[in-house]
Amino acid sequence: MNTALLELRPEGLYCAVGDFYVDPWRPVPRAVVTHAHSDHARWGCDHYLFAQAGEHVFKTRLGEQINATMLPYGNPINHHGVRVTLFPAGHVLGSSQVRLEHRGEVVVVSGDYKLADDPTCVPFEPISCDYFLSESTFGLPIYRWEEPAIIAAEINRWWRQNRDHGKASVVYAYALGKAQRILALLDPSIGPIICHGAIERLNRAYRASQVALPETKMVTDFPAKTSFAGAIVIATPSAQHTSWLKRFEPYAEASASGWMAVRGIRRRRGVDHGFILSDHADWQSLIQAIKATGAQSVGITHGYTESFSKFLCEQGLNAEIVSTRFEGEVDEPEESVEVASSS
Amino acid sequence: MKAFAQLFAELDQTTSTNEKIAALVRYFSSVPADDASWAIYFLSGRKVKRAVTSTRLKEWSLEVANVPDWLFDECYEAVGDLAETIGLILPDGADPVWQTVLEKPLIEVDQPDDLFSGLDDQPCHPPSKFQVGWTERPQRWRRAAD
Repeated sequence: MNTALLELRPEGLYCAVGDFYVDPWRPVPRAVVTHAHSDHARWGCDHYLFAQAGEHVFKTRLGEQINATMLPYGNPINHHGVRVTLFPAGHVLGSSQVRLEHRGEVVVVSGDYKLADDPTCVPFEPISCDYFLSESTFGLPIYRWEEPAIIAAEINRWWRQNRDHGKASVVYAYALGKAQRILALLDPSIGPIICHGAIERLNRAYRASQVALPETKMVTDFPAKTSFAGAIVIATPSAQHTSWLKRFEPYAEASASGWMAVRGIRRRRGVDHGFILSDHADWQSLIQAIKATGAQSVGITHGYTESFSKFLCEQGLNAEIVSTRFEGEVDEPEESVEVASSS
Repeated sequence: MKAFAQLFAELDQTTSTNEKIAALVRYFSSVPADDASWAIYFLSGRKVKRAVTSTRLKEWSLEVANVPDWLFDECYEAVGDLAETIGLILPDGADPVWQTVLEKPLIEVDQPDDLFSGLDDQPCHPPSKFQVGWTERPQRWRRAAD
């Protein structure tokens, strides 16, 4: 990598000077973790460092018993001469960019991030640095997000229409982050809001962190044979095609993901409707975020790494591909299955 | 054209045959006969005479969106459809002209002379009507239709 502060090891991104890893994909003695999604926060590390804001979310995911140091955003800590500071990444509750400083060199590992409005987490903060490690999940110019308020109106209109046709509305969303962001966009006057158990666990973590969410219920709160017509159901992607959904019939289905921008992907997903809502940066935001750092050297990980780094090089930046095992926005159930089985 | 755009959105946004039929019934019982016959023409897979080549459309899109040729090809690979790729790649624009196009009945929209006549003979540069009228993304069609 084009920085002396980070190198790729089989366990993950390693800072040799400080002797710690950032978002390692194997258990290591010391891990600095950007956020609690399962491709970044893995079990089994002896010690974790993450943002104070993410306490409840991390502990829901990694267990109450983990050995962790929690840092408020912007408060530095020194470790073997490396100054480590966490800054908000705007991805999900408690997500951070990790700023590393040693002998005048500044490196920022951004993890996953977005620039769009999200009332459920602290907004992304641009940090100037020499080397910026960026994701590129949606690193093609076809991905451009609308204002969240526009998507909110679309979701609520769809929900109201389904209610007026005597149907329930089922939305598939990531259990951590996306589900809570959608909840915050809903108009609760339309009808009851029901969450899958794996999502409700994270809702509790969000509420414990003082994030305002509308009232939600679980299926178990209702007597058998209740009609769910008019309700909206937030379910994990893994719930699609399962018998859990039978009780909501008749229902309309939608998926909420950045991938829904492309019609072919939406069709393959087999849902009626796609809401284009992502917790990752779109094309314009990626470029804007990278420029704002002033970094001369940029590392590009998970996503459209080849085209995006080639584009940045054509723009005069020194961009390199960094092959990590992060996954970005996977429109598949892997993550939620894991949550369900851990409960 | 708004009604037709709405019909297309409704057909596209449900996987239920009954709902597709209901949308078709709603459309055909509410639009003028001229529009309805054009709708049948388009829905049965027929096309009007080509007003501009797809190569030219691609070239204009590259220029308007300020995207290099190779990157457009990467986008096309991810999307799998040229028209949709162009729709997604073009930046948003102010679009009073587009709104008036949407208001027109299908029979008038069908007169491509009005928009692109003779452009294929011109040197490659995006005509202003293309910039104003086509800088709208497919998602907007759905909303414009509501």
